[in-house]
Amino acid sequence: MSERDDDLLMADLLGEAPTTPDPGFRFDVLSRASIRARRRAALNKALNQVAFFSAVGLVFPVLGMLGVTWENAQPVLLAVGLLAFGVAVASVSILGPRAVLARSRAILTRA
Amino acid sequence: MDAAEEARLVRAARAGDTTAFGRLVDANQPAVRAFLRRFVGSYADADDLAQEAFARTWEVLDRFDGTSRLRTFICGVAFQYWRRARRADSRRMARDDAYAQLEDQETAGDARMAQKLALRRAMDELPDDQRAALALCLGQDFTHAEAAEILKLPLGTVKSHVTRGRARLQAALGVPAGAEQ
Repeated sequence: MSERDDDLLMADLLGEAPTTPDPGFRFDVLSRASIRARRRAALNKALNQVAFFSAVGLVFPVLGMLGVTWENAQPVLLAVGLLAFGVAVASVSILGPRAVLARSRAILTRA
Repeated sequence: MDAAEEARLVRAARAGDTTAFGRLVDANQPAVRAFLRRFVGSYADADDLAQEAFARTWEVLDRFDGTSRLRTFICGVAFQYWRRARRADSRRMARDDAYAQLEDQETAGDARMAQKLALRRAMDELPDDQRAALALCLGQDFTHAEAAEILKLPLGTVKSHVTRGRARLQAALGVPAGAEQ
């Protein structure tokens, strides 16, 4: 028996190579890839939320430390609040579950 | 699949084409799974590891520079995964238990099974790098250079691992070293 044949025999005894592509294997791989992508997206979303709410929570103590009172910060806070409301409405309109502007966005994306 | 077709599919997969990635999985799974089956021992664990490696490859496909074949890159990913998972070591213990049970059921007439078990035991006794080099090169699936790239070892070390490991496996099968040449 040649060295090559001997190697192939030992390789076969240690573990056979799948002879044909296995569609089930491909399906499992794509499924795992999708699960991992969803998990990563969820983690990013969670980190963004934690960062956002931490920043919001920090604003008031920092303003207090800087000596800004409620009365003199009121106009700025009102403007920030209105801006945040506008951003929230726009986000829900464009990206929300029943997006009002979803059709327009789809058309723009296709174009 | 030739290198040009593979490069085309890699470009498409990088752009998010899952069909192209599916074709890459189909083309590369025999070599990757064979390597892991020979290396890990348990088919179930090997296929599990192979699926994780392919899924991870989908995420890091941008890092593949195209200087080698994609299967080399995937095997490298799988080997790194295995190294990390080895620390837990629970699977290996479970596998050893399964072998012990197989040994009890072994009959004197089942020569192939006896050979398999003897080879497996000899393989498991080898150092990790040597075992991986053998698993890659024994079935002629990968060249020594590809194995060196996957294992991140010098080429000479891989050749030495394969020669010494082959002698150990031949001894386990009762073949005198060099007798077959």
